[in-house]
Amino acid sequence: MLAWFPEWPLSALIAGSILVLHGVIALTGPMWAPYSPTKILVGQPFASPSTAHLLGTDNLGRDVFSRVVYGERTVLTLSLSATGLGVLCGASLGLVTGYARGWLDEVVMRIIDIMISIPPLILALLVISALGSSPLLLVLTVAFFYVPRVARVVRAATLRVVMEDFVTIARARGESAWSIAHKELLPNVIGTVLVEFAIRSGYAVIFIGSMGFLGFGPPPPTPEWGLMVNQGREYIVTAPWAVVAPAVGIASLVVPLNLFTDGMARLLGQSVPWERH
Amino acid sequence: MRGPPAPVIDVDSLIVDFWDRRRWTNVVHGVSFHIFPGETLGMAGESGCGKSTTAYALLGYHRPMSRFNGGAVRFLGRDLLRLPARELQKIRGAEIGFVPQNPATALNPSMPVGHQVMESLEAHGACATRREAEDRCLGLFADMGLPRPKVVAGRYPHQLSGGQQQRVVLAMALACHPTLLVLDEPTTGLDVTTQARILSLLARLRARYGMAMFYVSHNLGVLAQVCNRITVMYAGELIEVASTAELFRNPGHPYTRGLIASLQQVSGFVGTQPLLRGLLRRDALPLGCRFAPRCEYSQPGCFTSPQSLATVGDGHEVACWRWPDIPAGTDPADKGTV
Amino acid sequence: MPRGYPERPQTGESDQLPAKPAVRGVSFSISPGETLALVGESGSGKSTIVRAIAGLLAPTRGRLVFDGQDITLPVERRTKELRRQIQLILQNPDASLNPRHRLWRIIGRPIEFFFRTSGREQQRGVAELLETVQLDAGYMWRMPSDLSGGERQRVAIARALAARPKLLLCDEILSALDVSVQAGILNLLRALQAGHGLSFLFISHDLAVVRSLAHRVAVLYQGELCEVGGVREVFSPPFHPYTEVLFRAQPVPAPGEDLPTDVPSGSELEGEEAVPACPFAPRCPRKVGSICDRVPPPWSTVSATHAIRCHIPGGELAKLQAI
Repeated sequence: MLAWFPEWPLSALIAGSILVLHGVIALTGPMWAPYSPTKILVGQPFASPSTAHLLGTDNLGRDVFSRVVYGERTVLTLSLSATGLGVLCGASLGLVTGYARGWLDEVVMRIIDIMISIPPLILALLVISALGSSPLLLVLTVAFFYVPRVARVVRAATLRVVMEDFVTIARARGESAWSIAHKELLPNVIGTVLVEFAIRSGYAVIFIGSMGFLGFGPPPPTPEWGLMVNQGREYIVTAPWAVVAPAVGIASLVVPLNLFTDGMARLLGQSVPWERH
Repeated sequence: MRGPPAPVIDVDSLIVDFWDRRRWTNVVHGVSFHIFPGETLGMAGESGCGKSTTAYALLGYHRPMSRFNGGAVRFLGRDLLRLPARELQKIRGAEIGFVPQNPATALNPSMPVGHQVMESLEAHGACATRREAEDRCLGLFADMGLPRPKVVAGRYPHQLSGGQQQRVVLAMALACHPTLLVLDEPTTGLDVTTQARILSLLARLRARYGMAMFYVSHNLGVLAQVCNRITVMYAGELIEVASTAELFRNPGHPYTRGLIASLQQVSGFVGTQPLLRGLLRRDALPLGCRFAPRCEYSQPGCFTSPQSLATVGDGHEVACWRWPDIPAGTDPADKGTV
Repeated sequence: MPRGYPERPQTGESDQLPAKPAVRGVSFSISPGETLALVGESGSGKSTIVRAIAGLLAPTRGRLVFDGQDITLPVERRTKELRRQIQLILQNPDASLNPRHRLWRIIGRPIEFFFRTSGREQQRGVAELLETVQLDAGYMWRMPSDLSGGERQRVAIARALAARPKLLLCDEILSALDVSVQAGILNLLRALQAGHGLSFLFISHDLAVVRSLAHRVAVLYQGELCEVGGVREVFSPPFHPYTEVLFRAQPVPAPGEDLPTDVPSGSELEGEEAVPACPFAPRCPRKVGSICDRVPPPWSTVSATHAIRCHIPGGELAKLQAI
């Protein structure tokens, strides 16, 4: 796939390597993290960073470094699965409605308009306060928000392609709708889908972090960065590292994601709709 | 005999490069020509030969990812390639008008066309009051042969046909009475009847406004009808310059002959000249004559010795050292039964 | 075996319909190995006719017959064999090739689809087709963006030929190309017709191209036919007044000719007035009078193969148009 993007901007290359590093930490972290993330009193509470505890310890004497390393896996699993699910469903829906047009398109688009008009945070809080908080529910909620938004973007991209003559030729040949969708349309909207995935992953990290911060994410003592920021907040004067470390974790994921998306979008000739959420 | 008047525009050894993935590639290679006041100069050539790039250079403009790498474009003595952006801005649209191939790209889709013409009049300080601008705009639309100028002025571009859009663009280009009008394939993509109307409109406008014109087209037949002189471009170089009549009566360069032959072929005439072989390949240009790989008459020497324009007759220049050996030119086609 | 495609019976008067259909009462036929050119300006309904024959649009009324078989069916209900025999080539070579596929895939797909060949054999087919359209077989590894407009149009032709069709529908396939490239493709089309016995429905607004390729010509104005005949007949008097206007608009490949006379423009803001009985009446330089607006003009036969639809009889037109 790299052959598609012969020239990456330097910023995107650096961002890409940071993202790879995050991925490596998520995959292998538990193998080399010095302590268990949930075990309390592995050191003195509020210990400053030292060789024994690289990022110090928190109020319960847990090793912050180990918690951040384990948290990587939590945040990546949650945000990527939520984004993946949302983009997959949204892109399929967009592709189908964009190709089918007609009444199906009308109906789906009206439903999508309604879905988009619901403020994400409020519905998330409602759902979670009604059904209780669970990682699965969080993933489904985020995916639920992404489906209509991704569908709309992919539908617009599909509509542009559907009008092209090569689709007319395929229809005249009698190709099935499925064959047209995945052979003719998909290769032309895949760039849009990739950009959507990248940009929405960044939003998902922030959203899931915020939910964790508000206490609607995975329950304690799960090492989740948003939750960690919230818990460390009370002791920010005594143990700033317990807040700073997970916050830097979030930032070092979101900022490179955005830079990477930007570079990728430019290479694919797409524009990045930063203003959308 | 009087000396010739000073040219409106004098292009001198123009060189333009494009950024192609990793390196600069040359597209216009040392092109020189001039246009006298009130004259229409045509430029013919196949897609990708650099003729649009040359047209843009007459506005002192180069497209993104490209650069001027030498030469001068002197408009009434001022070199447009070295003029500050602000002064260039004043000249473009006021003293030099431009008509692009696709009128839709030149018009703002979200504004009635009348407003757009008035805006360009006001931008160049051509009109003191709104009222005056409006009158001028409606007058221009009438000049362009647009029916019911008032109605048209209130329309958005998508509500007009291609021919009407092109007339609006023409009106905009002529709004400030330019000295030079640059037209880049203005009738390509239009119906023949619409094309005929635009061409005869251009002839009328030239008589009325007295501007010089630079007309770019791949179709020699179209150029034959509007131009006094024609230049033929191949792979970024001029290979022939002649008056229109001379070019058709006595084409010198094998490429020009090929172009005329394909025009006759397409029109159903039996041509006497061989058709053009192959296509322009920029990645495989020889050191010598760039046309040599496709030329019926090429000899080994053609591939190694570069050719430049040499005078072969009154105002007729050809860049081919073999031209005297080539069998006599085509007869200008008889018109057939019509 | 003769093949015919009568399209919408001429009795299909459409005054009662709320909006005038894009194409009204058009009938014509094409024989094997023959090229019928359909001439008209943009908006005349040429593309609508092509799309109807290809099954992409359903005609409101009328019948399409191919090889004696009724094919007034949408593409989904046509047999594979029928879809194979009628192939389509469109105007814009930039839009008609999928920019994400290499040429072997673009040309190979119809081979795979219609003949179920794949792998080596399919590749050989692609190479042969590329050679048929005078491109190097090595082109199969290229992307459409690597090609010039003329090369792309050749690929589009190769893709249509891959189905081994009997009828090729060519919708303005030359108008986006340079004149020098057009000449090459015209020669290619002639060679294909001679070699494969193909029938062409060749749509164009360019009379010059039509003259050099077509056997018979049908002139279309705003959805109605106004002249039908052999290419020689249509290209010499008597002309339908619209054909005459088209001729005068033609750029002549020789200098020193007068500019084409200004073509009457008539109502340019279309869609505002009702279409009169003769759709060309508002622009017609030879308009007889109010009869043109009220009474649909009759077909008058000039010869067994040449007919003109005008209130002025053919003989009189010939006298008016004699130069």
